[in-house]
Amino acid sequence: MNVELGAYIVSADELLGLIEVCRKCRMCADTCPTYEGWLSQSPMGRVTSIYYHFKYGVGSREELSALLYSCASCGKCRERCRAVNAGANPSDIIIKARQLLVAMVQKEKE
Amino acid sequence: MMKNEELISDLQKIVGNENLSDRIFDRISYSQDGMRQDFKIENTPIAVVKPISGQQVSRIVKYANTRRLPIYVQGAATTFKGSPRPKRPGSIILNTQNLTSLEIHEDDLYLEAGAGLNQYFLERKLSERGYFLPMNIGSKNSSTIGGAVAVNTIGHMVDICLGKIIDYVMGVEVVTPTGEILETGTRSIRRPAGIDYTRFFVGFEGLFGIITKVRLRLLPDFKKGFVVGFFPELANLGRAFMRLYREKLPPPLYGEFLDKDACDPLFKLKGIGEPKGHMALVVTVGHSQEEADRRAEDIVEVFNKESAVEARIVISPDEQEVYQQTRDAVSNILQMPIDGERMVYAGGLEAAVPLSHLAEVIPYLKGGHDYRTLLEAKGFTLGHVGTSDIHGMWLCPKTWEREKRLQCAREAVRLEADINLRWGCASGEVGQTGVRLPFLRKRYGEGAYSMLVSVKRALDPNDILNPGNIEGEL
Repeated sequence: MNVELGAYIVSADELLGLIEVCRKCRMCADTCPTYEGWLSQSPMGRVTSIYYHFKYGVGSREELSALLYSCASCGKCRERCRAVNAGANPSDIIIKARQLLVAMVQKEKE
Repeated sequence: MMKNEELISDLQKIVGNENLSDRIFDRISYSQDGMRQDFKIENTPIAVVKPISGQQVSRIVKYANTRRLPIYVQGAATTFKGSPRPKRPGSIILNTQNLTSLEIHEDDLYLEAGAGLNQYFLERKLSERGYFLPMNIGSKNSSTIGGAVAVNTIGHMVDICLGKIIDYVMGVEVVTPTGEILETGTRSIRRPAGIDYTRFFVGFEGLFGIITKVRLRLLPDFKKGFVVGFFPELANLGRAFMRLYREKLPPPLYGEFLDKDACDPLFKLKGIGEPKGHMALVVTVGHSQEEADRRAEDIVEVFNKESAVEARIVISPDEQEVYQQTRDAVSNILQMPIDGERMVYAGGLEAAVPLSHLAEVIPYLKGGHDYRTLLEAKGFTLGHVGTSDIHGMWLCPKTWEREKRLQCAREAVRLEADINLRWGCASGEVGQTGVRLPFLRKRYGEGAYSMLVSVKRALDPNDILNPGNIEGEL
């Protein structure tokens, strides 16, 4: 099935630009329903992982994907986010990263 | 160098599988501290460990010494000067957030808290019992009590009202860089005269040991009064606080200010009309409401003597909350476009200055310096004027090139050092290592720095505890 995602897929650079406003304060961690004590399973951890994966090639696509799809997309992180005033939206970034990964895999298959 | 698998297996035997992670994205996430700059990928740690007791911390440190394994210690790593992040390859991160014990000994007027206990959690627990936590840090929702004690910070409060946190630390449990567990200080409210080993660890930013537990004196809660004032010029506002102390009035718990440029968008967002000038907020304390109110009246009088456009006591808790939130959530300023442009944070500084120079420094910070990129950006002055500690914050249009934004951040660091050096001070909130290390060396000289390095080397002969911090590596 050909899924036309082009209209609302952000590029890796655009994604990095969205992430740059994150204050790395970790205040979103406690509010995340998937956080059980390890930071990667928190909004800040996921956003940081996305950043370092796309900027520096850290971690495998499969590891990142597993992390991103464990996000509940509930948006509670945004209520606590200190950078929300600068346009930060952790759950939105995570969704955009998922879309980008899917688009990248599809493109490689073509 | 040992193979990583062996190392991880050995550490798992100490802390248990559930308290160690070698997953790549945990190692990355914990390495990213509150400093905006990316950390160096080559310094990604081998593992993150979260010990559950001082004994486990001791075993980890002893093991690290046998392997010359660098350990980087963090609570919530919220500091933005770069000290928690790994600086050498082949390290581990030791996170204290599993050290969360709490015992309150009301009859002896102290509590003992695990270093990883969250500050806001502790604040609420104390408040339930009629006590007051003498610190208020902006990141308290995630920061730990151990981190605050290691840096000796009370955040936004006025130092000379209640003292810094070191004045309440009766003792610590600490693991030395060679793995010994020490218990320092006393259980009496009469603290030791002369040598008190507590002083080696409180405020020394993790250089000489890992704080695993803190013993804090209990402080009964206060009644509070609330004053708001608006001033036509920043110099007036500065002079108001200078006068407060010159007239020997009791120091307030909080003395905050926001310049008018910052107030404008924030008042608009809150829907509270136009600010009448540069805003000052004061919270007074007293053992009775009458005492707190009397002190608030004194503040109003002082403000009026310095030509306040308006100065009044705020009785309504809702109105107090509005002003408090306006000040605390200053980053809300980013919600408003300036000159039609969407803005992003570009740089900030924190400088403590002598009281007698307050009226001079605030306008200087606003626009009296000659840092070109900062002058091009949109600058705001705010901060803890009641404790003579000022913040500068700069925003720039989102369209600025990354390098120009970084230049802004670099100039802010330099301006901070300039102000502190010029007036003989040192920043009072976040510590002196990390990105501030060059300033520390300049401010106190190479003799003092050599002494610090010598002590560190003597206590940590294998250089395993937070290596690179005292060298200013990032």
